Amino acid sequence: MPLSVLIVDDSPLMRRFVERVLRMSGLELAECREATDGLDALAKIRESVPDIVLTDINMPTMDGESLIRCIAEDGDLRSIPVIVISTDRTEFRKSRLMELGAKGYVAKPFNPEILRAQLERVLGSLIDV
Amino acid sequence: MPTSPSFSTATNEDLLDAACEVLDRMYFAALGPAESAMPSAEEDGVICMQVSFCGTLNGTLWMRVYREAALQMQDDFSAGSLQGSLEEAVIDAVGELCNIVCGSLLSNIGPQGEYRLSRPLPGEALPFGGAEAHLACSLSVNDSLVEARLRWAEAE
Repeated sequence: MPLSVLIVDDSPLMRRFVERVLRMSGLELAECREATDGLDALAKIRESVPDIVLTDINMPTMDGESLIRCIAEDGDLRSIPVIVISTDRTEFRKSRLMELGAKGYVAKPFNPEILRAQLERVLGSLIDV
Repeated sequence: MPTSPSFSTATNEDLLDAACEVLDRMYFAALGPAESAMPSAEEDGVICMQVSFCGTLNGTLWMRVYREAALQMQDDFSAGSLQGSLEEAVIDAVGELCNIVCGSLLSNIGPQGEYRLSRPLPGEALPFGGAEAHLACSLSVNDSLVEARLRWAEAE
């Protein structure tokens, strides 16, 4: 099934890179939308629910940690899987975000194979392998 | 029992490894050894960005890239798909590079530590005189020079 993805990052360049890597990984994308921070992401999720959210952590206005918490605490949204894409690959940060509700964690630098593996693990049968 | 993370045992090679890993995986860059040094003074045509970090370890990483090389890097990074201000995109490319290299280095040196990174900012007065820079490296990226310097302080 073609995927609907929401990429959340304050860097336009990083949003482009993530979309590029998604396409390089061989996944079929129905829709790839972008949000510049957590607040923007919540508005876009409420407009149209994506299959998955890929989010940075360190962002202005509302960071990725707050976004994950908002999604997890909202009964209408909590079934949306969130994968964190972050420069921080320390055990502390990773376990904290997973406890908050993130379903996957991709540390930068990453390549198409790493991102695809996380998506396959999180989305399972939603992806045509 | 794991030892506390510290820069006191880190080497310039650790910084170089982090920079190479990021440039290779995410910027798809051709890398090589630096055959000359960048000028130590600030000059036109060189973009400098910095990221500060605090937590288990505290400090700042600066990265300097010639503008022409940064243009190529942003193009490679986005596969030429970026729209809008070219100047902002070039600064974004060097800022993201600095951010990812910083995170990668910290995670390599102290994976059990806890850090908070600032957002990338244009570099201020630099420790490029060398005396205060505790780690430094330079490398050739797409036939241009890229330089990284890191100043750190042990957490209290």
